[in-house]
Amino acid sequence: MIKLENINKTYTGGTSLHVLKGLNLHIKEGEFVSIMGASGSGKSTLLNILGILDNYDTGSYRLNGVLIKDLDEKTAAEYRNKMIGFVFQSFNLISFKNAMENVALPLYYQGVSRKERNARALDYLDKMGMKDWATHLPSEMSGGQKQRVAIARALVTKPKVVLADEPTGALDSKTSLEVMNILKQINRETGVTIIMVTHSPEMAELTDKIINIKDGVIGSVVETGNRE
Amino acid sequence: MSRLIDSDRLGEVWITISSNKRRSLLTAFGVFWGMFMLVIMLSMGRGITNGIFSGINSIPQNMCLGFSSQTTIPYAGFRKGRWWRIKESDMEAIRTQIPEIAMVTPMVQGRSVNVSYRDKSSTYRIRGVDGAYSSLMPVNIIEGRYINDLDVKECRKVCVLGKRIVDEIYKGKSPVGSYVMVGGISYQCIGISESSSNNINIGGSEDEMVTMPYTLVQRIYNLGDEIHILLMIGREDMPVKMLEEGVRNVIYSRHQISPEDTKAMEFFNLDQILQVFRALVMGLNILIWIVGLGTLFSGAIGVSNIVMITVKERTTEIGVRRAIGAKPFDIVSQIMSESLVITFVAGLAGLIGGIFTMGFIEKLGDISIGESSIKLVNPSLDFNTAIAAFAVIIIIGLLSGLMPAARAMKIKAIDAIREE
Repeated sequence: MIKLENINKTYTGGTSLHVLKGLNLHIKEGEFVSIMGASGSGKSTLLNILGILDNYDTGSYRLNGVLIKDLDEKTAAEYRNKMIGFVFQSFNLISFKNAMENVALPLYYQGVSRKERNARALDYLDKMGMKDWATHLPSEMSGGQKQRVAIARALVTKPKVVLADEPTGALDSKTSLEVMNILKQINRETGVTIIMVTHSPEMAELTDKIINIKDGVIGSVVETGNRE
Repeated sequence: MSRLIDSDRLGEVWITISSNKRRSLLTAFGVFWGMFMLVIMLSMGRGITNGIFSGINSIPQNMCLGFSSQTTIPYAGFRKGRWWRIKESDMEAIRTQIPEIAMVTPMVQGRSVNVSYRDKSSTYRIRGVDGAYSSLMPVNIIEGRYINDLDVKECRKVCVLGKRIVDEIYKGKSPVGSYVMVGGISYQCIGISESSSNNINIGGSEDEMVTMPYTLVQRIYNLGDEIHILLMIGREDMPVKMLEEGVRNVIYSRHQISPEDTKAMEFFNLDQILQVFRALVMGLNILIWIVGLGTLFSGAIGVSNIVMITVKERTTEIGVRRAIGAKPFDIVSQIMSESLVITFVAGLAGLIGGIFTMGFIEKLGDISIGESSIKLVNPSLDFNTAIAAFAVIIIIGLLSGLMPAARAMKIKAIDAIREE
C-alpha cells in the first residue's frame, strides 16, 4: 500500500537541516501502525510526505502503486482528497459548519451533489454514533465527539489510508481509549490502512505495529501482537 | 465544483460576511458611495452635455457667419484701417458666383429701443432678417408667423416679438394682429418667437428680440443697403472652410481688399463652437471618471483589506480545506467570490441608488447651473454608461479579491494545521 524507498528531505532555511536520511518504509494494505519518535526525529516530516502535504528531495514514494513525486498543487489536492483521510490532534473542524456539513466537505470538493454528500455524511456520522449530533456545531461538542466527527470526515471519501496525527493528544485517557477503539474497529471492519503518529506508548501499544523513527531513518519496528 | 459561484459557495460567503456585520457594512459603504457618486456625477455630466447641445443639433453643421471688419493691409490705393460694409449686392454676387452655396441670408442689427403696448413698455433690441433666417437659426414660432420674403420686398411695417417681450408688455394677451410701438413708430405684430437653444444666438436672445424685415431696419436707421452679418450654408459636401474662402474671394474683389488681408472679413462657424463645447464636455467626462473611479478604487482597497484580514483569521480553516482536497482554484474562487459579493451588492446598491436619486432630482423640474442659461437636460445615465458602470463593479470586485486570494494561496496545509 505504502512504499517509501530511500527518502531524503532537507529543509533549507537559514541553516539547512537534513531531516529524513534515506528512509525506507513499507506498510501493507489494512495495517494499523503507529509511528513514534522523539521530537526532531523526522516523524512529522514523514507524516507530511505520506499525506502529500510536503515534497521530498530524493527517493520514491508509492501510494497504492501511484508514484507520488513533485506533484502540482491541483493533482496533490486530488490525490489527498481521494486516497487519504486526515485526523488531526486539534480536530480542525470548521467552526461555522455543523457536524454533517463538516463531514460532507471533502465530498463537496469532489463535486458530489449536496443531497448525496449529506446522505453519505449522515451515514458515516451514524457509524461513529454521532447521528443525533448532525446539526450541532463543533463548539457544542466535547473533544471526543469532535474527534468522532473528524474521523467520519476522514472516512467519508473511502480513502486508502487514514493518517492520524496525534489523534488522542488533546483528549483525556478514557476518551483516548474510545477513539483508539473506534480506529481499530474501522481498521478491522473496512480494512483501511491507518497510520498514526503518537507520543504516547500506551496508545502505540494498541496498534498492530510500532515504527520508531530515529535520526531520520527507521530505528526499529515492533510487532505488538494485537493481530493474529 | 469548478463553478465560481454556487449556492454552497454563496452560503459560505454569507457566513463570512455576516460574521462581522458592522465591519462588512462599513467596507461595503466605501464601494456603495463610490458607485453612488460616479452615477450622480455621470448623470449630471450628461445633463450638462445635453443642456449645452440642446438646439445646436437643429442648426445645419456647415453654417457660417461672415461680418466686415477693418482692413489691415493697404491695397489699391486705400490706407489700412479702412472700414467697409457688406452690401446687399454682395449677396447676389455670392449667390451667382459660388454655386456650392445653398443659402445666403442677411442680418441687420438695430439699436436698443423702447417697445410699448398701451401703458406697458420696456427696452429691447431690433433685428432685421429675411424669411430664411428662421430655418437657419434655432427659432420657434409660438404663434402667428415669421417674417417672409414679401415683408422684406415690400418693406412692410411688421414685427415678430420675442416671447419674453410678450410676457412683459402684453401680460398674457395675444399680441398677434395688434399694433405695438417700437421706438416711437407703430408696427403690426405678426407672431411670437422663442429661441429653441439657450446657447446659440447672434446679437442677443430671440426671446428678447423684436424681429423685422431687414429692409425695414435698413430704412429706419438709414443704413442704405448695408448688411451687418451674412449667414451662409454650403451644399452638403462643401466644407465650411472652402465656403469661407470662396465668399472671401468674391467680397474682397468687390471691395478692393487685399487677398492677403485675413482680418478684413471675419467668419464664425458652428464647427468652432462645437469644437469648444466638445472639448469642454470631454474634459468634464474625463474629470468625472477620474474622480469617480478614484473614489471607487479607494472603496475597493477597503474591501481588499477586509478580505485580507478574513483570510488571515481563517488561516487554519483554509489549511484544513486544502488538506482534505480543496484545489487551488477552489480556494481562489472562494476568496474572490467574497470580495466580488461585497463589491457587487454594494456597487449595485450604489448604481440603483444613484439612478433613483437622479430620477428624483429630474422630477424637481428644470435645474439651471448657477446663474447661467445652461440647463440640466435629461440628467440620467444612458444604457451604455450604466453597462460600463456595471462592468466597473465586476472588475473592481475581482481586483480587490486578487491580493487576498494570492495570500490564501500561500497558505500551505501543513503550516495551517501545525499552527497551535
